[in-house]
Amino acid sequence: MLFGGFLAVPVFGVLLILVSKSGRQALMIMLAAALGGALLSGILAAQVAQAGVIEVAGGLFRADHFSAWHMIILAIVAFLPSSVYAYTYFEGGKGIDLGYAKRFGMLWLGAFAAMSTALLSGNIGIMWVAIEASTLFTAFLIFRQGNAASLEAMWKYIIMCSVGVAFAFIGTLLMAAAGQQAGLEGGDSLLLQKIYLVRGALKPSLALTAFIFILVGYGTKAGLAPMHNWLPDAHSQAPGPVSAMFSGFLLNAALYCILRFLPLFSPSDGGASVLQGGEAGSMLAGAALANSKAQIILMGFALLSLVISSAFIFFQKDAKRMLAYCSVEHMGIIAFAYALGPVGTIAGLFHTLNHSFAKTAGFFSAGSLGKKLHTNELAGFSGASKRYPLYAIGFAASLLALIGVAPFSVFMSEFMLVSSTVAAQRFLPLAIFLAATSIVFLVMLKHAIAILWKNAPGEEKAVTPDGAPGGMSGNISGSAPGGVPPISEYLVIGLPLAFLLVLGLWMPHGLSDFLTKALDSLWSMK
Amino acid sequence: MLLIVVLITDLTMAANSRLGTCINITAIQGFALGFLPLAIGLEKGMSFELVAIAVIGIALRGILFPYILHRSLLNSGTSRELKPIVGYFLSVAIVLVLIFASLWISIRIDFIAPQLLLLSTVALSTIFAGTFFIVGRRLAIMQILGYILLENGIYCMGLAFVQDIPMIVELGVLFDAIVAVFVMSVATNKIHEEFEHFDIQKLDSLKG
Repeated sequence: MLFGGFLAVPVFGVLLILVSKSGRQALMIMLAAALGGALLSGILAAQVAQAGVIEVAGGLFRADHFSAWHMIILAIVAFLPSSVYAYTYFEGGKGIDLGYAKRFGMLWLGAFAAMSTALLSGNIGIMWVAIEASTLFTAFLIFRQGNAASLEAMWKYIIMCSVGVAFAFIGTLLMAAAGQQAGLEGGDSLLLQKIYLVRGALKPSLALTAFIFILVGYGTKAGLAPMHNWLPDAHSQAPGPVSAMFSGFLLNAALYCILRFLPLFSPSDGGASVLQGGEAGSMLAGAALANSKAQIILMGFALLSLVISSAFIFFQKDAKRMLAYCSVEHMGIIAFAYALGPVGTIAGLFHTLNHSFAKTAGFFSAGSLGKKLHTNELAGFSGASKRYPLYAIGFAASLLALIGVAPFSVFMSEFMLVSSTVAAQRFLPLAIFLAATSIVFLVMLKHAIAILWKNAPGEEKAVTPDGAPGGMSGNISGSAPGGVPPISEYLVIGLPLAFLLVLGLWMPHGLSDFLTKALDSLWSMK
Repeated sequence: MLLIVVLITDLTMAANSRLGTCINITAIQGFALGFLPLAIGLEKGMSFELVAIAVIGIALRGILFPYILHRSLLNSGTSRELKPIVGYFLSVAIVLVLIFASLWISIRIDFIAPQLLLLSTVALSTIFAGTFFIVGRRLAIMQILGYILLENGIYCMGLAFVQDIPMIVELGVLFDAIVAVFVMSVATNKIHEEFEHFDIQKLDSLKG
């Protein structure tokens, strides 16, 4: 029932959008469907919290704490705010024509259906189908009529991700072949749960080859370096809400698929019982030393992502591209956390939430700022706080949150990550992690300061000893602010940042409990 | 027999510069692959699923894909790839090397039954050839053809390595492939409208 809802709501929404008569209607329907999806995922999480694993159709679809956690981030943290933002971004349908609004709404809901199917399937074949479908649905969201660069970005995105994800399918087939060798029959060899149960009997070389294909394939879509090339282009060219949704969850959905395969390489005896101990101390001691080859390879990609993204952020001049590379960095951080094994998992789970909060707020404000100022250049953003306080302060605050400034909860999850790396005694990765994040910290801090306190580029010359008149003319040429931003924009930019602040200061008991259970459900498939 | 057809189509793709011919070659390959489940059915016993997959496969790979591509080719007015990144003679040589490499790999993989050796060789070489066309050709249409080859190869690989993939997964994969080809060809039309060409090499304004 509940699982059907995740498909039924978007499908119903798409049908309604087809018959909608105005752009405003289409966007309203899209908004309502997004709200429905958010409600459903809330119900799903509540049910999972009560009943544990929910399975239908013999494990074809399956929800546990781990997938419910991602489902909440998808529907409530990333998708709903992005839909609200899309509504205001297109000025409630006034800024666009009917055809575009319809197409946007349908593809948008299709992407939601595809991503939730990927999260909720227990069958690695369906998971693949859903991820590929999400690529196809989102491709045309990048494109804006009459914008050649967006077309180039879209083409890059389709080709790179389709081919990448095709490789993930090779990996999926190899994994199924390994499962059949280990004694699984027919369709069972595609069920993650069943493969997990026979993981001791999987042929190591074959399973590892499969994992490498899966990692490279889904990693392309998740934006792990060195397969990330499509990402900055797509993020910088797509309309604001689309970039927010890409960064806020599309990348995570692909990463989720990789993570699901990790436990297949955990030792088939002992590993799980250590997890059941529940007490943090024993868990750390037992699991810290056991690192499967799969985890080591994932760690390699994570570190490469950190290094490459920090280098590109250092030289970046475009605000949205900077945020995109920042996503590469954060995917690296999350992959890093899971590569540590169960020790780092809670940090990884928490960081996924924090990153989605901060990145959506960041893209919302950067998108609006770019639209108002007609530039995405970081240099053009400096001093914007005087003219567009909401967007500029929102952007600067989300930059601060993203680099892990203390009261925000990104600081907490990165701190957890560092302490678990120390506990796992992985000092070389830790050194690389710290070096890369500090570079990003300094560079983005500089940009945040420029936006908040520097003068706008036009005004800079004006503030000469000559006197005030120059400053006045700067203000006039800089086009009058387009009225007060609507209340919904205050909400979509302000609320995520508020959540980040609250979570940084106080972690509710229920939440940490849920995270611990999610850790269990990932690594021991309970 | 069907498999030999697939191998030959890989090679002729490499040698051909006329885009229309290349599309027809993939159509032939699509037909050959479509009949493959039936051939398996003759050996192991026919089932409804095999027939259904064969029929749908032929309809999509043999008829619908080529139709979509021919249409976007007509829109563009281009008919041949003039300056490929890798020349035609070299392309044929590379594809030949890829076929032998796949044979070598298939022999090395120990869990493949001897009667499936040819199938897995064909699968791997088609995957390699598809990837090669994606990187080695300039025009968007050739990249789509490369992608179709890649998908075809993966489909063969599924037949060679995994028994009894559930129908729902099989259909999902086919459905994704068809939508992918559709989306890509719409994209090439847009690229053509916007740039008056679809030379992917010239799409290079986004950097850094």
